[in-house]
Amino acid sequence: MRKQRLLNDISSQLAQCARMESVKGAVEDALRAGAEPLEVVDAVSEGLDEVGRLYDEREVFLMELVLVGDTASEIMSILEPLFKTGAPPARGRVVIGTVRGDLHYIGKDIVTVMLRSKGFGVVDLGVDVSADRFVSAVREEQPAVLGMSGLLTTVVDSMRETMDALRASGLRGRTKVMIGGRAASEDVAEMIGADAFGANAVDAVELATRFAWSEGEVAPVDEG
Amino acid sequence: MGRREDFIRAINLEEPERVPLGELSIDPPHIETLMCPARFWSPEDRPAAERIELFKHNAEVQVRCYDKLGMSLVVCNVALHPARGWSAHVLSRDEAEDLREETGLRYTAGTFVDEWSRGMVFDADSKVWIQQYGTMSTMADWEQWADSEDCPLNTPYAEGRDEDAKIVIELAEKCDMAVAGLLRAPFATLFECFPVGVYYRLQLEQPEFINRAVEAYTEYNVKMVEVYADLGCDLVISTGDLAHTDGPLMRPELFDEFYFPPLRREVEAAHAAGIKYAKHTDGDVRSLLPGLVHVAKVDGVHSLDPSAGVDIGEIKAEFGDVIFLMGNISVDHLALKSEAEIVQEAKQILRKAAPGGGFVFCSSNSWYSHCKLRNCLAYVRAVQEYGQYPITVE
Repeated sequence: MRKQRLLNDISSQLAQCARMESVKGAVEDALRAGAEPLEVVDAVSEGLDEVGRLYDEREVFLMELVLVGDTASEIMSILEPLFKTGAPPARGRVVIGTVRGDLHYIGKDIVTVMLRSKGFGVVDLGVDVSADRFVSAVREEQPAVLGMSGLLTTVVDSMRETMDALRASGLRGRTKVMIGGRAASEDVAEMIGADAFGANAVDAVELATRFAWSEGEVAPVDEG
Repeated sequence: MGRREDFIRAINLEEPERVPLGELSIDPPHIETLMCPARFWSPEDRPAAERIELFKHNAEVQVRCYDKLGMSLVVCNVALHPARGWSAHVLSRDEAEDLREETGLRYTAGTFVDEWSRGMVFDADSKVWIQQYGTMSTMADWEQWADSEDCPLNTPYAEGRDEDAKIVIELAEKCDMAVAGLLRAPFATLFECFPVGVYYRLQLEQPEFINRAVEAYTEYNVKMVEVYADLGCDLVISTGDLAHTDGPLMRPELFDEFYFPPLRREVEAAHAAGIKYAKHTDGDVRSLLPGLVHVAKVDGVHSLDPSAGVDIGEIKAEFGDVIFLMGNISVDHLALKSEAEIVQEAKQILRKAAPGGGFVFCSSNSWYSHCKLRNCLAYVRAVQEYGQYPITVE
């Protein structure tokens, strides 16, 4: 009972964008009360889901989203040594980057932090990423999901080139592709043959979760 | 009535003869296309001794281009212009790697750290430097920077800061254009020198530090306002976004508490010096407008981003009696739509925002290199054709 209350406390503190030290304290309390690390991961995940819902309702703002993502990442790094394998079971692997011709990073970074804090293994290729680099990363990392971000309207062509290169390399069928950022839209996703468009970081995490699950990667830990 | 007078009337909430045109920025590739064969000189190609010649040449290319387009406004920058003798050190791959390891921050090869501790990267497409990462991770880092002798906060009147602006202003006067001096908003300057998460944690957990830092940036900006007024600028425009597509970057009440009261001091300094003050921001600014108008008491707002859902007609109806509006043809549409669609959009904006005056027509940010130049020119022509007062555009 106490353990569950402490786990709920982690979720609600995250949802309220509480201070890092306070959330860390709640995590330590829960572990001391006998919570399994995986249960803490679940609690973190629930907190992030709630933050996502509040963001959609405009009750949480962008910088709070970044902050909560940072806090959740910090908690994951505390939990990591407690798993026998050295890492919590990954929900799936995501390769992400801002496409060629675009140097904007904030949106991509927020998605990266949110994905990591939800237990995804994320390979962040950075900004101005060429189609070839995306293809190489997909070949090497074999991700469940490839995420392309772009703010400048003209980089839609770069997204299309990456899609073409994925098809040409025969890797398209091995990964789901989601796009995001101001340059992207449902229409663009359809036009270039991507699997989905995420309007914001919360959407991106939902999409990645759905895709990783459908790809048969490790089952999402909070969908029992 | 000349172009400058049209602009001055507009920012005084009056009806000029024609709707004035003004852009905060036109990316160099567009200017070079329009002014061909003239090209900007690169600082790397000129010896330091030719610094003034370089400013003169580049200002000539820029201002003549704005003049050719029929713009009523050019901008100049003293606030973020480096002092004479300061030069950018572009990081090599090894240097960037060492710094990354040492600090855990995002130092990247090919970037440099500017006077304001922001990592800047050169965008080869648009040929402009843009902010890419913060280089501070603690309050102590900021305090150390702010205490340093050559920190711009301590050297607002350093030799060289105003030499480019003086040239621009002189040329603008010859071309009958108004001039805006640019400021950087304390909110943006502060969060850009940290990783965003670090900044926001400080915002929530160290309010006294935030107040101290904002105070320091505000003091600097107040001095800059006075410099701009002395140089002959007609207004100042504070750049740096407060919002993004989904809304404010942080809770509106934090802006009300920490940023809008100091902003009011900048506005009051402008009024005391006899010039106007406008705030730029991208994104959905709607929930911040009451604070900007009633707390900070700005004279105008710039951008009014339609891609974030801002309808300039609604803003005009609610705030058009107290502030002038600068906007808002979508930069996304300038990149993607046809000339005919852009002309229709321009006519619609004129219909909604121009009647009664207090309106300057511009894009919802600037002429990015990815905007189609023919679309930009199409809206300029549309404003020239349909922007005569009284506005009768159908």
